[in-house]
Amino acid sequence: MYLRKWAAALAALLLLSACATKVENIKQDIQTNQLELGQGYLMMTIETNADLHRIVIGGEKTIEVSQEDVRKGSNHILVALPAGDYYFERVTTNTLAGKVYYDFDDEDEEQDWRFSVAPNGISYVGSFRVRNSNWGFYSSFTLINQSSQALEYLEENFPALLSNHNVSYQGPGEDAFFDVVKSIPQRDNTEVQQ
Amino acid sequence: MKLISSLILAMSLAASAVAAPIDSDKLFRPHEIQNIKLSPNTQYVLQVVLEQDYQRLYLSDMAVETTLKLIELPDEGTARILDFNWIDNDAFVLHYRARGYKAKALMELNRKGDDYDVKFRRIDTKGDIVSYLQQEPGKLLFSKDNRYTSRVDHQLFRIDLAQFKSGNFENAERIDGGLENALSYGYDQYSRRLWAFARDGNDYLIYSKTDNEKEWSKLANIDVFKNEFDPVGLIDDNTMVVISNETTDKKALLEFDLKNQKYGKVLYEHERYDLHDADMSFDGKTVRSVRYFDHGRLVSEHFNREDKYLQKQIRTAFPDKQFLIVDEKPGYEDKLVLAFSSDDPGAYYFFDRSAKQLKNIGERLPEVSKDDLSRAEEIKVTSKDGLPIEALLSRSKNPNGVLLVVPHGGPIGVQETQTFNRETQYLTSRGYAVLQVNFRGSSGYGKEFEQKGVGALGQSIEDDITAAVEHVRSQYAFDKMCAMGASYGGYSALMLAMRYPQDYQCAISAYGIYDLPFLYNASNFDLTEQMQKAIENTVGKDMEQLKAVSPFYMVEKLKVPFLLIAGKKDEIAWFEHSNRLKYRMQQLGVEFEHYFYPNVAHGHSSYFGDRFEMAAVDEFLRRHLKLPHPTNEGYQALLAAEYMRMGDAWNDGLLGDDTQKTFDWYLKGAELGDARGMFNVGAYYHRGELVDYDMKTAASWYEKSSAAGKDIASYRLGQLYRDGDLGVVDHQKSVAYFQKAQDQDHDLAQLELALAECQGLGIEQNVENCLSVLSVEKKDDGTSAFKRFKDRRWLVIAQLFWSENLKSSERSKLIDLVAKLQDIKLQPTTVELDNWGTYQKDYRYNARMRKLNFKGAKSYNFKHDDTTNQVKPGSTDASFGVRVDTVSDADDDIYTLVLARWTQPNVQNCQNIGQYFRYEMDVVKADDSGAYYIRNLDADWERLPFDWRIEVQDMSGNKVFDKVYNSIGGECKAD
Repeated sequence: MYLRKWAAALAALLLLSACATKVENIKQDIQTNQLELGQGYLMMTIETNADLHRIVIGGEKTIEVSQEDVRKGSNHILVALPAGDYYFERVTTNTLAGKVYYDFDDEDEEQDWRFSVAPNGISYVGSFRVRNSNWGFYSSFTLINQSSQALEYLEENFPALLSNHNVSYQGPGEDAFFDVVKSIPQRDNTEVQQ
Repeated sequence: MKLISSLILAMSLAASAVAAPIDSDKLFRPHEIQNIKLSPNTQYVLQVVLEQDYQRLYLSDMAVETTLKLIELPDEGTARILDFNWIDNDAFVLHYRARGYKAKALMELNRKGDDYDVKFRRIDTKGDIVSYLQQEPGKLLFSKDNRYTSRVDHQLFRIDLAQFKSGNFENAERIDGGLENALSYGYDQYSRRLWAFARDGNDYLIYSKTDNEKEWSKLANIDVFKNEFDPVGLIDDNTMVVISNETTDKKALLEFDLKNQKYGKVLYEHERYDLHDADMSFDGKTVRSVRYFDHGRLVSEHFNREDKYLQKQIRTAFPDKQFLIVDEKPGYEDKLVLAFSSDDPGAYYFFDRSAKQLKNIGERLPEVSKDDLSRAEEIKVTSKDGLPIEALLSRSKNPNGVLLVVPHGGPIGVQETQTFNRETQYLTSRGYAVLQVNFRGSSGYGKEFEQKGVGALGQSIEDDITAAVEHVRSQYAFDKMCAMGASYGGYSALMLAMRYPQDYQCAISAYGIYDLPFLYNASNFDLTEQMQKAIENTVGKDMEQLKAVSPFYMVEKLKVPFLLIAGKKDEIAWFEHSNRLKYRMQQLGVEFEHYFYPNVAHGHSSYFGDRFEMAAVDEFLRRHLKLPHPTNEGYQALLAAEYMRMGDAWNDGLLGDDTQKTFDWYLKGAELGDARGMFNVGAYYHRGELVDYDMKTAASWYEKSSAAGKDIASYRLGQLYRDGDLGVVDHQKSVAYFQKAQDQDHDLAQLELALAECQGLGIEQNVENCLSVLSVEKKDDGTSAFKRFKDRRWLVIAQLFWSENLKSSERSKLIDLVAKLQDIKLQPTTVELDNWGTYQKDYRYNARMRKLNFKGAKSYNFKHDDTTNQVKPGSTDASFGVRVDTVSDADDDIYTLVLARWTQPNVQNCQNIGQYFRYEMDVVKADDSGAYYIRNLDADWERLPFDWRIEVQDMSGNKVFDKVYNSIGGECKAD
């Protein structure tokens, strides 16, 4: 994966911060439909082995996943966003020498960092995994499809939201998991007839 | 370590009909001989051996058949031998790891009569020895590592031993500045040619240069994903010998023209099998031998008469085994030979060719009895479409009527061989028969055969397996059959059970793939072009077809008991495969069981994991197939150990933390007489965890465990009788149990006996003897046993300062002992009370203050509050202490002792509750440089509903503090 890596100058950080909107991570289940027209829910996990500084997502709207949601461990993110196309734009990590940011390319020929948010539904896009090593000076990134684990998380923590909204996979590539588990096949009742 | 035993060439195999289940502790463990090499003149054999919790380095002199232990490292310690390389006949370089860092040392042997003086010298020069120079004794080719740059940067030097030792290369002959991106270097002694191997993306680059050449020549540039290209040697300046399958169906031995980068003459191609590897002659001019697997059996073919004769001699000695020459030296005839088979883990032999003797050096798994092992039988079948298929059947010597069909992983490029397989032997020794099939796609049978496996998942691969199953069932009677496997084998096992529910009574799938289209989309890394191609080359690209053979899309077809095993860190067969299968099965009400390991990837990295998993598999099979347990003598103890393993896995272990499951498995182990199980169950009653607090039941389990030989149970009983926890203080009984614990090798029992002896409690007072035990010198070997001993000794001494049975002269000796152990000067000093009070949580953190830790609670920080000595039982605020100051004008290097004791004044009112003591002895600076806290009371939470008394004295025995902390409403009542 090719990434442009920069030691972050404070000014540059401030500049980007000015454009990115901090989004509120939904922590409580939602009983009624609170989406505005043309909005959908983005659901993903950020799994990191070290505290990150922040993650910026570009596209339909530039948003920032802030420090408290990018701590070491698994962080579940559920936010309401305008429906449309997005991509991971920048990840800022902490190193011994300060903050370092990695810029992702929305046309990365190697790895695909794009995803979508569908209107009126929950769009699961994957688990964004960060592996830091060498005191933070080396980081690797992967977007992993963990649809079934995401669904279990939603069922446990957001049952009302889930009952009111369709959930679909909107990360890179195609996956039939959510469609399959929506369907309950006819039971094979051959034995009963005999 | 045994001395080397000789045996004559014609060996006889001891046969026995009695076979028993193998103890998995003896089976799933590393090979005892980890590394073995001949010295350049073949006089010495140097070997790293794992035995009895130690890693040892042995030097055997084969001329006089003596063995010398050079190094011994405890398994638990921080040091580990990694490798060694001979430099000449009297010196070798040892590579090891110490405290997490890799290091190397020069070991020089000086023979003194029958003995050796071995000099160890650590070498700090960064880099690796490329080769010792055979034609220039004492000289080395060294690749010096420049770690100051981020890229790989080596310089090559020809150095002597003095330069190697000093690391001073100022006058060393620099022969090359190193090659960019070089991964490793090699040196051919005869052609004096340097080799370098480098990697550039997918390309594997091979370079070479002679001593006289300035520039490296690129010899080959191979795409590792496209073709097999395994360099064997150079027969002249332009002709390389390689193993490749680019121009042949089978991996064959070919000439490769370096100038034109083209393959030439085929030197050897087997009609049915791929070549595994090949050897050049020592002079590098001819190919000496090739090896391949004939029906999974390793076969060597030699091309010169002398080697053929040698092979014949060794084969005569091992008629039923496969063997390998693992080390030999140019100019010498003696060899190191490894002989093994499907029913023999293998043993190393020194072949003394002049004496025509094979001398047994050691077994790889010496504790496994050969009587319990099963030999693989070769099965040949023809699949549905006419493709010939090979399989291996391992039948039990005590059959239970169950055939286990075990497809291998891959499915492309993996092969079952007739080498020793731990899992197979575990199962056959317990009655099962194991069938392994080299279905289409397996390696070893050529490109075409391998290619036939692509896109054949769930279809013709399973047809191949079924053809082998039908053949085996036509030859032997089996009552029941289950499919089990890992990785692709896990998928295949489930597919077999879904396809043939009438034939299979159960299935076990581990680390498998269950949603084949998902392979293409498991992560955005899998979406890269290279990965998509690799996946396509394994499973094909017809998505509808892949869905049709994916268990996830048809879980309702599963009609038999199913065990699903997965590692949550698996990134080969991503955990999501297993989890979505689990989700769908639960959703549709399909019954199954599962073990998901939180910290395991694509299989276990520890032998404990393997042991657990096989125990879980056997338990699952017996329960669902209603199989009786073997009746062999000693089996019950093995089964109990398996149950304990299951408990351990749930005890904050392999499967996470589940106290109830832990207890249930430990109880099963205890009921079968497992000594540790009985101790653990006793401890649950002792703690009142999951069961009612019941010291009588606890003691009863402890007694059974002690009688079964568990040292810690005897030790625990010694404590209970000493402290009155069983309702009575009985020093005689206590001493008897501590004595028993000592006889059972408990490392702390001697300290408890010394404590009793110093005070004359339950044993005649003998202070001198007691102090000699307490002053015994122990070497810090980095083990937890050392730390345990050191900590307990400290507390025993601390307790003795409070003993009324010690005279003042004996107290002085105790002070001398503390000074000696700490290597400090001690002096009596005035200790004054500063303040005292309670501790409360959530106080603002202050780095200078000490934290108080309570079991089951978070950290506490000191908050001084001397308005109360009331402590609320069970409250998280129930924490208390005292702070004192030392007052003197003593020198900076003078220390004094502060001694504290916690007791429970009213506890005697309680039935079966013993006196709880805690002692503390701290060495503090005698000057008035700072305040000092009497630290945490690390008591069990349940003990808090009692009043507590804290006493503090100085080194001279003067009382500094004595106060009772009253528990609110927690007065002890007999019930």
